[in-house]
Amino acid sequence: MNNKAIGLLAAKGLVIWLALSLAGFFAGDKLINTLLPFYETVTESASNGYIANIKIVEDDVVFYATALTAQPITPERSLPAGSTIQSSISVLHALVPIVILFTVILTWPANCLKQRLYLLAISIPALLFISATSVPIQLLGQLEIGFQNAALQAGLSRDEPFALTWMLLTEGGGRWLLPALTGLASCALVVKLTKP
Amino acid sequence: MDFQTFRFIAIAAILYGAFHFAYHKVPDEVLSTKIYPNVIGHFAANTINTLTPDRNVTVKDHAIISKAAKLNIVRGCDGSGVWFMLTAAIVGFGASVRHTIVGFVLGTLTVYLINQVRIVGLFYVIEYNRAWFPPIHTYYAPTLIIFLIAGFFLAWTRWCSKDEIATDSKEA
Repeated sequence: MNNKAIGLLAAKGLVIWLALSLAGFFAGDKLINTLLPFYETVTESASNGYIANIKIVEDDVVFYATALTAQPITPERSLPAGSTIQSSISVLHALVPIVILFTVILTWPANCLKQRLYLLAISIPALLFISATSVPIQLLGQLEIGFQNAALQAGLSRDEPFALTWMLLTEGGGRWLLPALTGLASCALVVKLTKP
Repeated sequence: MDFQTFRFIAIAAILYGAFHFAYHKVPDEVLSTKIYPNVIGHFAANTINTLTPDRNVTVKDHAIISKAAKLNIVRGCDGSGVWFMLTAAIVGFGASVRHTIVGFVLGTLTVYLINQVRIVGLFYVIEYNRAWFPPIHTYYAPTLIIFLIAGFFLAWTRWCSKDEIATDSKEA
């Protein structure tokens, strides 16, 4: 690839990033709305202690978690079974990994129409993968922060659950790295699959 | 997927995780009272005061303060996530030691400068229209920064490859 081609690729990437960002800003809630049942399934599988009801309320993705069994907070205190608590993240927050993933996939210099079609096809499982590893765990992590704070107020320390560890990892930049690497892996896989 | 791509992704992901966990061992107090004011805050405040002397911005621990705005620099607002990503990618690429060191130094400077522009920009955004802060801070800035860093990484890998081809030609 010569310098001109690199320049064109960078310009293409910038245009794609801008187009996706604006599309996400003005209509991203529709995409997130479509993903809500998927978020609920993943959240329930990852927590196995709650019934998940996830909705978009104004500009936020709100997770209403109804405890199936008593959720221990401290040795003396627990969240009673049947009670509902909630956590939330903004819709824009949920869109960040999606914008990064599609910027990588759509910017990738496909050689032919077949490769472009394969890229579009692989973007669906890639989208589901980054959606499963970001929003549901962030929502669960937010709940856990509440429990951690309650335990701290009671003067107790509580083991950090996986959802909280993962949330901190993704919030620190992992939710940028994950879609970037997923996009790169998807493109590399498509190149391999479409090699003559 | 070829082995090299798989190796790159695996090393970058593992290194990122290691950097992240090491970073979280640094206490919040050290970041907010020592690192943020000295490494980020004063430089950003000087930039703002140079560009707009009437703002008379001061730095108090992790906060950049003027009469009209206050911007808190908190864990994660220091560009660490992007820096870890870029460093992990540079190491994972498996270039020569010289290329890796040059990439690390230039990459660190690039991330630092981009983050300073972000911090100064966010300060003006708060001052001008607070309602713009959440979308710019949460949405536009992170994705744009990732794009810019990817551009740096692409340029660096190109430089490495060109250099290696030139060295191979000389040896041949």
